[in-house]
Amino acid sequence: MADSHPPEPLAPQTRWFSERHVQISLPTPGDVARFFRTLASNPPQGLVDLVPGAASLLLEFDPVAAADDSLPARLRDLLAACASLPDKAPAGAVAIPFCAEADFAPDLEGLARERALDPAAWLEEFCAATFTVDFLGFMPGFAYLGGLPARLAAPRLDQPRPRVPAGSVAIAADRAGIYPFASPGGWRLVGRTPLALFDPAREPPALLAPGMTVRFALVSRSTFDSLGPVAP
Amino acid sequence: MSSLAIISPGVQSLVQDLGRPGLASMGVPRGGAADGLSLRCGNALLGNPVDAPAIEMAMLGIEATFDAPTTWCLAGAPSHATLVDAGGTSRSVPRWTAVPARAGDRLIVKAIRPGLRSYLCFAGGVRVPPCMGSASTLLSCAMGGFEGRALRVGDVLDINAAPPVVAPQASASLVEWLDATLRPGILRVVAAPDGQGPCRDALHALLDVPLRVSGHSNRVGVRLEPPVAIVEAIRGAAGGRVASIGMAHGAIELTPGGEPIILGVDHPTTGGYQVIACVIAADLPALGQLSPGDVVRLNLVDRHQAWQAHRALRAMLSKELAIP
Repeated sequence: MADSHPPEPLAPQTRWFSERHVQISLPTPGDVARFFRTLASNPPQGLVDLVPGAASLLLEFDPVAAADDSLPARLRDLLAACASLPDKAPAGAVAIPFCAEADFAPDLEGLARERALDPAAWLEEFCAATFTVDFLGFMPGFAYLGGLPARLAAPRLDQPRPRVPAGSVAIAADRAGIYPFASPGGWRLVGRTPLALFDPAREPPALLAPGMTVRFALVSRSTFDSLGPVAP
Repeated sequence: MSSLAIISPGVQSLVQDLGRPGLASMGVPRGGAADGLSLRCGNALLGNPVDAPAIEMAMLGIEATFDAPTTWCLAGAPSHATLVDAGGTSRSVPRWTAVPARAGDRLIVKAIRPGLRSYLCFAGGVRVPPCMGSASTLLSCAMGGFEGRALRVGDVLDINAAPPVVAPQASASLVEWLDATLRPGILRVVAAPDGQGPCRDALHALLDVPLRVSGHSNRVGVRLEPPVAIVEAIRGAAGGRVASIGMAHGAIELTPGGEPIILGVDHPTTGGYQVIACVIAADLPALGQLSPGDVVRLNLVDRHQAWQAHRALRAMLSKELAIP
């Protein structure tokens, strides 16, 4: 039956998520990115995948490697090594052109009204902010961007939209994000970018990577159109 | 090389291999065959690499013609398959058997049941342009596989050339073991951190009770409908999570409404619901065979039992099919 074995100590802030997954809790997105880089460049034996989250990193192992008695000790050593590494320099800066015409930004007016701003002032604050890519997840190329000014923060929609168009620039809670593909979604839409956030034929396929800084630049509809439509 | 012309595409037929491991940090789902065990066994019987691309058919099979001699094998859930030659003579074809088709032969695969998915594997494998190292179709992004979509009438799929197969066939004991492994009626799970903490009572309420597979299930997730009294008891047990966490194939999320969702092969890489348990690796093939209306029970095991189950599965594949 379950729980018949005593819990095996893994490492601080580390716990079994399944018999083949180990979840490490980490304080900041910078820590997640640092542990990710270290583990990706020096993967422990049997590592299948690494999945960053907002404040955690999930390690997937081949079940045979996960069952190896030496795993807890090796993980402890590896994580101790990760913890002592310095933060790497930021991974570059990207400017995201986006158009906030009404049909691209159905939630902008309501967001501005809630803050007693007019939409242009809301956008001005949004474009003045410098965002950092915390991690990618949810769908290919979707970057969770930290750095949304507290005054602009707003919860996600109570009822998700059945279809958010590709390229939509959106906010939810204290984050911004860009939908690389059309999908159902509950984030509030404030504009649309013509850039392809994810292209499997490109190397790397994702435009954004953890640690990059991102700024948004408002463009007109004609500039948006001239930059070309995004994929699907 | 030969090709396969699709006359009838079934309900949802997709080119799949074993997916794209290692790309989750870019938000790319693993994908691949929902029942990877059947794909591997079908390929092994043909002498293919176990991850050769094949056609995953759900609920209903395809009808298609071969333009040149091709050896193929039907793997996975049972379905009635016939091969009709140019003269109109038809013969029934068993699963888990490598079968030679001649030019002009028409293959008809009918309803798939019990179970959900059958795999058409071909000696040499289906030939599609690789996308990020895999032939898997990712429907949500219209990527990979055959033009990023399910097969349609009129599609023509290329099959790689392959050395002749010496008519291998799964042993009776392997077929019996596969059927039991793919349709066990239970899924063994290990408790996830939330299932040992805030959602412990909810997890235990969901163990060993009949859970109906919802019609709103797909490759992204299998939705389970517990008995009403249990939904009422566990509703609200899981609050919405604030921070997104990395997710896993087989992770069982609990929505605030009391609905358990088991994440499938195409699951989003991160998620925000609480995770009460994970289906053990050895039972993921059975997860891929759950069909709407099926009733399944969750059995709690510990990590050591999960590892033991995985070792037993590997030992069987090694002994019967020399799969490492």
